[in-house]
Amino acid sequence: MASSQRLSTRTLLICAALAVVTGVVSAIAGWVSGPTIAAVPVLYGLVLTAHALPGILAQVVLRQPWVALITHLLAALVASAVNPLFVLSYLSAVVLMGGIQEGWAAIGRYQRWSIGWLAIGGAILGAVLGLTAGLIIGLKYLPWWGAMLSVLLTVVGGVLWTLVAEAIGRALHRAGLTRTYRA
Amino acid sequence: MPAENSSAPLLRVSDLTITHDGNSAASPDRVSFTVSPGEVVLLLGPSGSGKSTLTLALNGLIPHDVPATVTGNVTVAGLDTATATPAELSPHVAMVFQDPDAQLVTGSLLDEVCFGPENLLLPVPDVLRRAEWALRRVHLWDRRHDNPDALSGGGRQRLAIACALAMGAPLLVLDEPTANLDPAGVEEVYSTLGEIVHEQDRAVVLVEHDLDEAIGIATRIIALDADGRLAVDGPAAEVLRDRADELAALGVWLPTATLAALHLRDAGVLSAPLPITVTELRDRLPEAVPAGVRSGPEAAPEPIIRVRDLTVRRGARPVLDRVSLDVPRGSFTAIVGGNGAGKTTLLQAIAGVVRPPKRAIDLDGVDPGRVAARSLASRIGFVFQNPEHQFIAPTVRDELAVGLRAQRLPEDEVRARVDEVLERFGLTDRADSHPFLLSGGQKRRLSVGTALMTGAPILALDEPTFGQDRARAAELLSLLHDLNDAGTTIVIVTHDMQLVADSTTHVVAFSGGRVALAGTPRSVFAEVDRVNEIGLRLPALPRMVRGVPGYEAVWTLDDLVRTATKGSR
Amino acid sequence: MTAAPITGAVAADPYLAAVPAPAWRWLHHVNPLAKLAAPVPAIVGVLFTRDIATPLALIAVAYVILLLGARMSRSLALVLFVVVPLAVAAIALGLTLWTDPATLADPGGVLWRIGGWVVQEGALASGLSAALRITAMFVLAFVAGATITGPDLIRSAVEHLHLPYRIGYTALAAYRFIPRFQHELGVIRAAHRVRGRNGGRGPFAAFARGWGYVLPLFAGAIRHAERVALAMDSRAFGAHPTRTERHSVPWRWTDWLFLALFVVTTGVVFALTV
Ligand SMILES: Nc1ncnc2c1ncn2[C@@H]1O[C@H](COP(=O)(O)OP(=O)(O)OP(=O)(O)O)[C@@H](O)[C@H]1O
Ligand SMILES: Nc1ncnc2c1ncn2[C@@H]1O[C@H](COP(=O)(O)OP(=O)(O)OP(=O)(O)O)[C@@H](O)[C@H]1O
Ligand SMILES: [Mg+2]
Ligand SMILES: [Mg+2]
Repeated sequence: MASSQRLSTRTLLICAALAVVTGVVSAIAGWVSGPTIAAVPVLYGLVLTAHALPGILAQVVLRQPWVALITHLLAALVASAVNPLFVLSYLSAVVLMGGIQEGWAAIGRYQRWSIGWLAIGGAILGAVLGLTAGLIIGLKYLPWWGAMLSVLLTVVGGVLWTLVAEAIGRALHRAGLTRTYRA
Repeated sequence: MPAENSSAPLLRVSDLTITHDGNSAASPDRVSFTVSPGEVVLLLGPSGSGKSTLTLALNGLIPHDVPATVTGNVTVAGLDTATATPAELSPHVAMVFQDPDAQLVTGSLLDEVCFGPENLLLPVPDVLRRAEWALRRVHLWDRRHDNPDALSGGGRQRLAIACALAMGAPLLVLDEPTANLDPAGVEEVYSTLGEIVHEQDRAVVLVEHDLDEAIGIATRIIALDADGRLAVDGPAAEVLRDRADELAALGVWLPTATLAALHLRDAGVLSAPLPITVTELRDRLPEAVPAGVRSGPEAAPEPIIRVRDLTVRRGARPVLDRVSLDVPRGSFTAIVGGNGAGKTTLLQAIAGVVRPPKRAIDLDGVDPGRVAARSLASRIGFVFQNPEHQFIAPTVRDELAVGLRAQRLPEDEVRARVDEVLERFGLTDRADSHPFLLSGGQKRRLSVGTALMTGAPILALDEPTFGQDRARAAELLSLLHDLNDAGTTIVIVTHDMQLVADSTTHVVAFSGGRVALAGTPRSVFAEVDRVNEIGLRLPALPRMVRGVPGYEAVWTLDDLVRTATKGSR
Repeated sequence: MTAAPITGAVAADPYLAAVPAPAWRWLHHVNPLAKLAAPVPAIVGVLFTRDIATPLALIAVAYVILLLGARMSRSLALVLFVVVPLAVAAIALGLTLWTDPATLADPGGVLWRIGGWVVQEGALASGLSAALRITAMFVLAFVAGATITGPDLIRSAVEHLHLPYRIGYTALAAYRFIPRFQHELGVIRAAHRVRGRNGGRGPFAAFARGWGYVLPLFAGAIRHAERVALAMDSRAFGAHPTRTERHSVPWRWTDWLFLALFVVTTGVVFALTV
């Protein structure tokens, strides 16, 4: 693929490193999601959106086309090596989350990296995820406030994790770690 | 591509100046030299002089991968590295880096060696032929189906050399290939390299700190000065004989024989020209009267650290297996042993970094197994192997103040004490930068500084001289000696046996998680066979003069000079 | 830097696909891509069901395949016979309690009361169907997950899906990051603990603590990644659009067969239950 050929090995491996480190967050999210669905399903959105972290972090740190999708893909491949049973869940996260994040950055022509723009992207991601999760759980059987709240919390989760990624990106930048990557 | 003729240089570096993006000064700066097949070039220079930067430019990683401004040029086998990519250059230049782990991609030795030739699109039979040839040359063919993790540090570095050989390149570039290794691993790597250069069909550029092994294969020495300019370039023997003073002044590491020769000359017992090989030095040592060699402190005072039956497990395997030892109060104790022997684990257990089992350790009256780690800060200061791991504050000043603020000292006293340490460690002008933005040497000094802040009576350091040049290491050691003289007990982990002989009063040698030997450096190194067996070696100096009549008791440069001057008078 | 290999921290060695499964454990010999693709229609389909029979039937199909075709490791057995039933029960109960009776078309009789909370048959039915739906999606995915190894999946995706090999090999290299970064995180946590950075309990203190690890952890990770990239580029990584592959993961007619049978079975299940 010509487009990914332009990404340097260095960029690819940094994506891999980000994927592996954020894998810790994803693993924690994976562990608590079962109990969350069983105990307080409305909060599931906050947990679910944690899986969006690899892609958004890659965009914040590297600010390049394709890095969100590739980081999600790498995260999925690495996670399925550790825990192969869930390989399909990981891959669906690539399509859904990587796709939305990459698409939103592409709509911004890979020029817009302001916190506001990224946060809107996070909100869109949260909304799509919230509706999908709602479909699975069966939102229409929840009390109306529960249904509203769970979608709302997914949107909030999407924005929140975007802010976390931005904060990490800033900290790395201040420590001089990203000065050679982003313009 | 111009046809190569055999007399043409393989590598031509002309007027090369490199400035990393974001840096103001260039290093290397206007450097020119050529290298022909058969040459083994040892590249020396103080820390930060640009050795690694230069090696990265030899196969085009700079400027293609690492953003930097380059003027002048580098040509390898007629290819200009400004236009040819590292991939295009890979059949001509092969690289070996410092950290064996950072060079591994696949899950078996065979796959690893095949990785490069496969990238070159060679047909499968050729790939396998090359892989077998390369693995046989480093004596790893029998282990080809193993996971590289199963190899020792030295083994993995030999694997990295095999991977480089499999690229079929006539120029081999190695940047500190043995920096992470124990003495046995270093020996292993150099015996392999020795076999490879013996055939004289390729050229080697080698950056190395441990020169005693490297000097055996080097034919030429190039040295950069602190500003990255070419300071010395000449045949190895000639440089060591005639320009050793210049090298010493640059603060770079020197072969022990040369260092010894310089000391003997300064003491007036050896005249120019300097001996350069160990044999030459031995032949020219003046006759000695072995009497009067100062002995180390023998009577062991009461222990400040007492370890009894300490067992630490990682997974099912004990990393430390019923370890018992004493560290005398006021001593300068070294913990030595092969890679993976458990040195770091022991030091961390003592300092409460990993919580030890209860009642196994007595640290100046407290049990680190029972009290919270941070309340140990007033008893023991700990310096991690990688300084970055321990930095927790956003500025150098805050970093130094962490321990004091935890003790709830008044802010003006904190300020005063921080300023004093900043001054002492030469960090005053960096007080407000982020600790991560310091140079390697500055980071190390900061980490030692933070450990000192609380005035603990014990200071523990994990490989404090790692990656430092000779001048920096000496500076750090003299600081430690000052503290030691003032009563602080110092415990260090190190792979440098000469440092052990020169500086320490006590040694504990580990093997496989157990104490193999303990005592004064002399009593430990007296057990030569046991020392070799556990992957250690005698320090370079005593190894060098062993068997010379009268020099049996020589362990340090001081001993050597004293023995020699006594003999000559 | 420690030069001693850090092993044992990760449960599974991702490369240790070496022990081949016996021929009669046929699921291991199906191409990973076929195993990934086959359950997808069923998973998507079950999303839109609201009954109990469909997900239950699909779960049964997946169990049969796994029991016949996959090597029954201890962990797989644990998942299939302990975790899955428990998960169904727990999720069903949770969702039942959260169901708003007003939304039910047919609330049915009262099953039990907890204080002011009334649980009706209809609520239990909707909770149970949601739980089975979620479980079915996972169990169907296990058909792929139980027998796929990472390296094979990557090789196969490069070979048949034209995934750029540079991405595939980046993933292979990344496997090695896991134990290394885990070790690094352990050291950083210890370092911060001795430096007195572990004040307090509770989620906020934990968050503040975790935040302190972020910088050193990412710093180490990014530097390591850069070094690996340099080493890979020095070995001609990415020199050509393709590279020689010594291991092939072929796509055979049996893979088509597996795919076709799975999809047909899915169709039959939906036809019978909807
Ligand atoms: N990636 C980088 N970005 C910015 N500056 C760098 C980078 N790498 C090295 N430098 C700077 O370039 C100079 C030369 O560094 P280099 O690593 O080449 O020195 P060296 O001689 O190899 O030192 P050492 O003996 O410590 O390995 C130093 O001032 C260093 O801080
Ligand atoms: N966090 C960990 N998890 C698993 N194993 C570990 C961990 N830390 C260390 N080990 C293992 O414990 C053994 C001893 O490690 P330790 O770091 O103490 O060795 P060392 O003597 O300091 O080696 P080196 O000279 O390479 O620094 C090694 O085999 C190492 O792989
Ligand atoms: Mg260097
Ligand atoms: Mg160690």
